[in-house]
Amino acid sequence: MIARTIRSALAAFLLLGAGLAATSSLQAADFRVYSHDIKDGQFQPDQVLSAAFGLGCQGGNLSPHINWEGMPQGTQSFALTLFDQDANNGKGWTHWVVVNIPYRVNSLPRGAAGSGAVAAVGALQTLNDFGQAGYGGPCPPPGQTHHYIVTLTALSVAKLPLDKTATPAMAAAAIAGSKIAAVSFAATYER
Amino acid sequence: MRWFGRRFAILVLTLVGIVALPLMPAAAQSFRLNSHDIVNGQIQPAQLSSKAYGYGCAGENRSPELVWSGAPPGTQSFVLTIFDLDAPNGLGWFHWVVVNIPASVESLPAGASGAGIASIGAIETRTDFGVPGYGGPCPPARTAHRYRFVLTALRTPKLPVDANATPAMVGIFVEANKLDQASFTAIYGR
Repeated sequence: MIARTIRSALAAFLLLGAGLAATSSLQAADFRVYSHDIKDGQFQPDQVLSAAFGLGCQGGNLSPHINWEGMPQGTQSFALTLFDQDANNGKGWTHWVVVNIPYRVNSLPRGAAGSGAVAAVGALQTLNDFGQAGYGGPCPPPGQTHHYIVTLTALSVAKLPLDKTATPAMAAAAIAGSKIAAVSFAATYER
Repeated sequence: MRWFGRRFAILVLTLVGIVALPLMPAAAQSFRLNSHDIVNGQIQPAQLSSKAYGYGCAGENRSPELVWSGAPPGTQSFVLTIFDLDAPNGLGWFHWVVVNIPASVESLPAGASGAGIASIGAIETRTDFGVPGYGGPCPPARTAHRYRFVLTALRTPKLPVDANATPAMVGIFVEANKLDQASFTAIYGR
């Protein structure tokens, strides 16, 4: 009797586990963001900050290609951010913010930040922590490896009440206020 | 023997205490930051952001009085920040950033943001509102936030920044030149 109870409890547990696993793998396959340009989880030289920024890097400051799929139901727009969680200020560093990406769009091409491609799809770049509306590539201090988080957030509104002078803190508050779901991946850069 | 051991331990602890006590006030006089304007750890109505900010508060946007003491030897300047730990953005929110406060300064009067800061040769840099100068607390309705006031003593008299520097940029220079920090936390809820 006890053995049978244990067996049925075990069976129920396994079925529950299988059900959960199927659900979570379905969700994982659903909404995701990735880049073909960020190879092996590493930023490439052309994506690194350019000499013009004066921080000692000599990259091309080209925003990487970003692709996504499987948006959640009800998505009206997307917001994309690139954030250095290892910045030497104890708070992190926002390198790129793109908001108001229409829900029909599922990628930003390489160099989109500087080529006009962001504006062409009707999206908006707001200020990064360099104080500029656009992309500022990775450039950690010499000898350090930093982790950069690319996050795509699906939003319940078509437009956030922001203009290009919105700070990263303002944009993040607006994104959080209308978030349906967010997906992200991490990439590193070492100098 | 055991009784003696205990007596001996008490004697030793007492002696250590007698020797250590005179040292304690020295430690207590370490770097401290206070405000007489922030009563019982609460941000006051006059210090809230004004209607013009559009966040739903009707304060006077008046920066609070601040006073500090016990700066470490070698201090060349101070940086003051007010940071909302609970901003609903996952990042926090800088409400005030003042750099290049001369080492000889030991307080800021109430309402110093603007002409008062300029008169001592310090610089207000951009906050997370996107403009330089004090932007008072105004948490969303029915929430309470913690605001961290931090004064950092620096080993350099001037940071290489102007009023357009972002809080993130100032933070890099502060961390690179930090000697010591004094801080307190105040709350505002509405």
